[in-house]
Amino acid sequence: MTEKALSNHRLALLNLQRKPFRTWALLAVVALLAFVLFGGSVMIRSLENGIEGLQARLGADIVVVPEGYDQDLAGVMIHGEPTYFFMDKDVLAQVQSCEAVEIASPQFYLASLNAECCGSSVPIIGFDPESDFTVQPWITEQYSKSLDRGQIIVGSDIVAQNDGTVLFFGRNYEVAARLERTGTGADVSCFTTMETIEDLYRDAREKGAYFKQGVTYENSISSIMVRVRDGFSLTQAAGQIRRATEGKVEIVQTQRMIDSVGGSLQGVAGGLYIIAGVFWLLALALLSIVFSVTANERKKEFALFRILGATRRRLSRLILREAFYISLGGGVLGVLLAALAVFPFSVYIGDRLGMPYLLPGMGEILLILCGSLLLSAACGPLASAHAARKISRAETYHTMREGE
Amino acid sequence: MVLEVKDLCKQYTRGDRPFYAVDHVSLTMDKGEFVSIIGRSGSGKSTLLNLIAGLLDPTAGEIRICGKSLTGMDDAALSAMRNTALGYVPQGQTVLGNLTVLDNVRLPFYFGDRTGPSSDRARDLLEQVGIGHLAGSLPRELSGGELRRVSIARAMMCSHDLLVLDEPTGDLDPRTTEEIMALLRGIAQSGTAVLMVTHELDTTGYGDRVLEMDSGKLSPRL
Repeated sequence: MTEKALSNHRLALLNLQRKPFRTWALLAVVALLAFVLFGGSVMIRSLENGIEGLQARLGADIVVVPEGYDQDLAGVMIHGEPTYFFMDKDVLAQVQSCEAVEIASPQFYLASLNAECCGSSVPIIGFDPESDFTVQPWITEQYSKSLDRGQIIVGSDIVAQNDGTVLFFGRNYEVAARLERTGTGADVSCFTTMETIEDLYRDAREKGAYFKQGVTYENSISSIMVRVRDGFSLTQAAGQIRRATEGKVEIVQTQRMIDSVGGSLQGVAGGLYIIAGVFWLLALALLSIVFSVTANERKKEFALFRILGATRRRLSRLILREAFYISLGGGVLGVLLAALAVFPFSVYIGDRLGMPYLLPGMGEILLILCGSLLLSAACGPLASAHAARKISRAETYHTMREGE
Repeated sequence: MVLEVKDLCKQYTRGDRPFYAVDHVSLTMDKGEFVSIIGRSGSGKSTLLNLIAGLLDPTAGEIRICGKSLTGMDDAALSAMRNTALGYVPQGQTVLGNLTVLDNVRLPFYFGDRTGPSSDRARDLLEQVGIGHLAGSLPRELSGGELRRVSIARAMMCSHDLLVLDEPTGDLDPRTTEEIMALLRGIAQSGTAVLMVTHELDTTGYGDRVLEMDSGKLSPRL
């Protein structure tokens, strides 16, 4: 049988095995810390990514919607809530006439029927390819050609049929491309040109979809995406639009929408960072107390190590190593548990938080993982440093007598 | 000369009054010599042993082990000396409960930063002290006398020239005491100098010399 050297590594492990309850209790403390650090950081970064995705998705400086529908717009953009609202198409010309408006591009919103393509109703957004400056620059990342009539671009969560089509109002539409995940409502939305929207509108009518009296495809639009001309402020542009439309519309400044979501994120992120900090300090304090008490209990053992020829440095390293193993083990355990909680349930978490939520890329996740492990693993040695210093510097003779 | 102690002092202060726990002690020991030091509790016996083992700094005087002075040695050198030249058996039960008997004996080998096998040497020592069959046992399965034998084998693991024991039979029954003393006698006869502190006069018959310690002063027992 090969013999195992009694290195610091083995002595540390043997000692941890000797006190299984204490070892597991300390592992649990550090695991909780690592869980909060890793899980919290991934969540915060996912929310930040979601906000970035929302900014990229919105594209416009101002969105004009019918009066009282600003919250519905946020519902579509952020959460992908299927809804439709309309205003008179003449508003487009009124907005375009404003000096502060560089581009004004109309959009037409529909909502699919339940369980037709995707298990539940999804928003369908029609845009005007001639004037559009918000949807096309963004979808060209996945689809550089122009969309033909009957073609649709789908969000990342929309599942196409085997033949590469989606069914809306009894008709199949070819999926030209699938967008990357953004963490916003775009993930459960479909995008197409006004030509195709016209077909969809007519089919919707035939299938009995309800439209307010007087609303037709020809005379209605849902929103106008506005780019403000250089030299004009958003407030000036909003003022001109309000006057041109006689106040009959809702003017949504997209930055304010982002800021309101970002403000909530700052609150969530701040809370999570505070919790992580408190956990770190608590873990440090708790481990310090436990290591200090343990070092006192083991005075005689440490004195014996000195008697047998262990240097002060070796003794100190032995104590630090034990602490390091506990904190590393707890860190790995906590990160694993956090990964099991955060990754499979990311969609659910995003829904529950009610904010755009997009997991970071693998590289960033690895960085967060390394950082969380580093902070967790450092916790043990930091907490035991005082005990290690004290016990290794003590005079062995006195330590031996105190330990008796 | 294995051990040379010259004019060794250790001074403490109790209240405001300084006193010598070890008061100008001189002592020499040759290879294979068995010296017993007797004295009442608090006479300074254990302090003297700890000074010799380099576990306490003397107030004055010099200690040489195998010709090397402990004065001015740094921690690494003192630790190496304790690991290689001097085996120390402290008072009471000092066997580590989470290690087997064999691993307890092997332990000093690794404090000397050595590599390679250590089990054969440890098993030989356990055979020598008469508990070879207990190598795989845990300390809780052993009697007091067997535990003391483990401590002695462990102290000799790294080929020590000097074996220092602090009351090795303090908590043992008469029969086990006799066995341990016979073992120490045998160790001395094999060439290791044995320095033992005891307050049991019965055990002094095993030594070559008996010294008495009283109020920090060491003198031959008359």
